[in-house]
Amino acid sequence: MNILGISCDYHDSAAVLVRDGILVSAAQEERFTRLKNDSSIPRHAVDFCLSQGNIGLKDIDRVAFYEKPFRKFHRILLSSLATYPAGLPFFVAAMRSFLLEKLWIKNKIIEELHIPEDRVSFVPHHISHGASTFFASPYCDATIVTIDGVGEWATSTIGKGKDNNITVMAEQQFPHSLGLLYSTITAFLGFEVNEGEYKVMGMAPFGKPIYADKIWKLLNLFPDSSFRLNLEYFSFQISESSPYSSKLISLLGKPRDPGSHFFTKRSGFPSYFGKKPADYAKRCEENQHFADIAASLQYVAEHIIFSVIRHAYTIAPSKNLCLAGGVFLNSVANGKLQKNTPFQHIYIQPAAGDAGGALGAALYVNRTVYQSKPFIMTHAYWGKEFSETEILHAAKSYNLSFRKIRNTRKLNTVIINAIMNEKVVGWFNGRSEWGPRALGNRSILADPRDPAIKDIVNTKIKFREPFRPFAASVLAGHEHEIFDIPASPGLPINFMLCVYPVNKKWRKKIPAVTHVNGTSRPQVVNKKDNKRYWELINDFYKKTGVPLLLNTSFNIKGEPIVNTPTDAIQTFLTSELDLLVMGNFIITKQSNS
Amino acid sequence: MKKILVLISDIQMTIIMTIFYLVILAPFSLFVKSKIKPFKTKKKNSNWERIHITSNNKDLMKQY
Ligand SMILES: [Fe+2]
Repeated sequence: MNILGISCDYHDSAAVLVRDGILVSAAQEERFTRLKNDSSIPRHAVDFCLSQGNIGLKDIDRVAFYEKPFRKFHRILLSSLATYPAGLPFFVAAMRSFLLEKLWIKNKIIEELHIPEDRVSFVPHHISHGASTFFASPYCDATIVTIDGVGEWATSTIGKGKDNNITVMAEQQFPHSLGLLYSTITAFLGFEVNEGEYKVMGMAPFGKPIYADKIWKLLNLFPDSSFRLNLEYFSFQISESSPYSSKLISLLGKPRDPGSHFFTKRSGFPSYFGKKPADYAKRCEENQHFADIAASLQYVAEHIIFSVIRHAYTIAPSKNLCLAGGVFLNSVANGKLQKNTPFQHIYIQPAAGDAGGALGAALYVNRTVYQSKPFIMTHAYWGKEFSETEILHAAKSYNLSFRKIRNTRKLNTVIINAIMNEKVVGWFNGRSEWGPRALGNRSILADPRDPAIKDIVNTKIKFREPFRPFAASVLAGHEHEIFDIPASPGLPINFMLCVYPVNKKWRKKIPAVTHVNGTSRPQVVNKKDNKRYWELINDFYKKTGVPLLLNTSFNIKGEPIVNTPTDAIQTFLTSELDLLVMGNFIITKQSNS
Repeated sequence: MKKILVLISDIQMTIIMTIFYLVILAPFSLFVKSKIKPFKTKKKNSNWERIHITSNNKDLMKQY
């Protein structure tokens, strides 16, 4: 029984193949097309999923789409009426995209995938989110909470999962959305919606939540954790160009210019920003104001998230909690869940956002229609793998100097020596990751002990804002020694989905992965999930006494994470990465000739 | 339907939709406005809609 799950037409399109209840492959379209957050029909991701499963389109028993396009259209139509006549710009833009494209997704699937109409299923958006977490979790009973921007009408749901069933018990509807509140302030702070939310989260520790009372003005929170946005501060419901109104500007001041650099006295002014501006002190002060807004938003968002989850416990109690929706990519809030809610065990799968809807839709059809056996997602390596011949072919076609070191211990020694000498290494190994995080198969690695390395990685390749922290991959068994984490953090820590405080005595030892507020975002690496990566970190540990490496995604700013050996080589050549390791090959920049 | 729609240029589409919204939808908006629940301004003590959707609903995945 082959089920193909698809999500597309909003952002982060993806495809997954589930066979007899077990996941075979999962990938986002952006990794193939190289267009960040690509939302088009995931043709390449579908091709990959089929070839990974050694099947053709004719072998697909059912296609599961992650939402209901007509129901979404219904929401757009009715909200345009509700906001009449101010909703004109929104209506015109939405009608164009719906009438010309989005409403016909069913026909596109039937035509492009040659699937008969009766074999296409449409799973509601938030049920896809719920299924993506519960049906990939280790639990047969759990409370399910989903929170995002918006699906069809729902913006958050509370439900219950039991064996092969999911029951949704409560929902909040558009326009009252925590995801849209977060995105609106993200836009106000000069970052791109659906992309810059991570940056707001990274910026927050540089500020203090002194404007929390102002953020609270944007909504009315009820005692049962539900809320209604005060729509006069927002314009996402009437315009596609700006999500906030002039009233929000009167409340919070002038929005941040998206083209300006963000730096405060604490973040410092990195060399890759160029020459320090003459009015540096004034700009620091202005940016401090924005950092305080970010901190206030994060504070309010956390308060709401914990309240919703505590409320969910009262209406659908369980000791297990499954979470999904873009809001649960907020790793700072995720790291505080166990301290602030009654749940003992928590599960989130790596693609908690809309790409994960493809997984949820497929698993939902599998479990509820075909009653397939349970599947547990313990690792994120569901993407494409490349053979030695393919790697070799790519290296040769670029005329690069390479050598193969068959003995992995020897290979590790070369890599670790480079890392210990302030070198930055591109690491390409095995199947690519599912979800927005690089988890040791398409990663850039560096020395976490080196206080200067953050600037070096940024100057050489990432060019990230100086306030954004770098994450760490830690050997399983050492996480409690280094980080202040709950006794059983569960699987989300394998997916780098939670931020935790670094224990005091370690903060000075690993400055490159310790954020300004003393926290870090660790990924626990188990030998059984990624032996090759585990061995590398273990060899680094033997040499240095530090059981972790700095790990950041293998990409240049603004590009998707690399997928193929050619992507890796191109990124290697256009950046100042010192070394590229692909499988057992070490590639340097000297030309072969 | 889609085949006809793609023949219309962007500008024509914008004009048609603008007229449609401002003229045709005007009476509907007056009628529907106060009935669209999520937009109602009436004070409540909760914004949770209590629902009950289960996996046993066989039609759940058929609706588009
Ligand atoms: Fe979503």
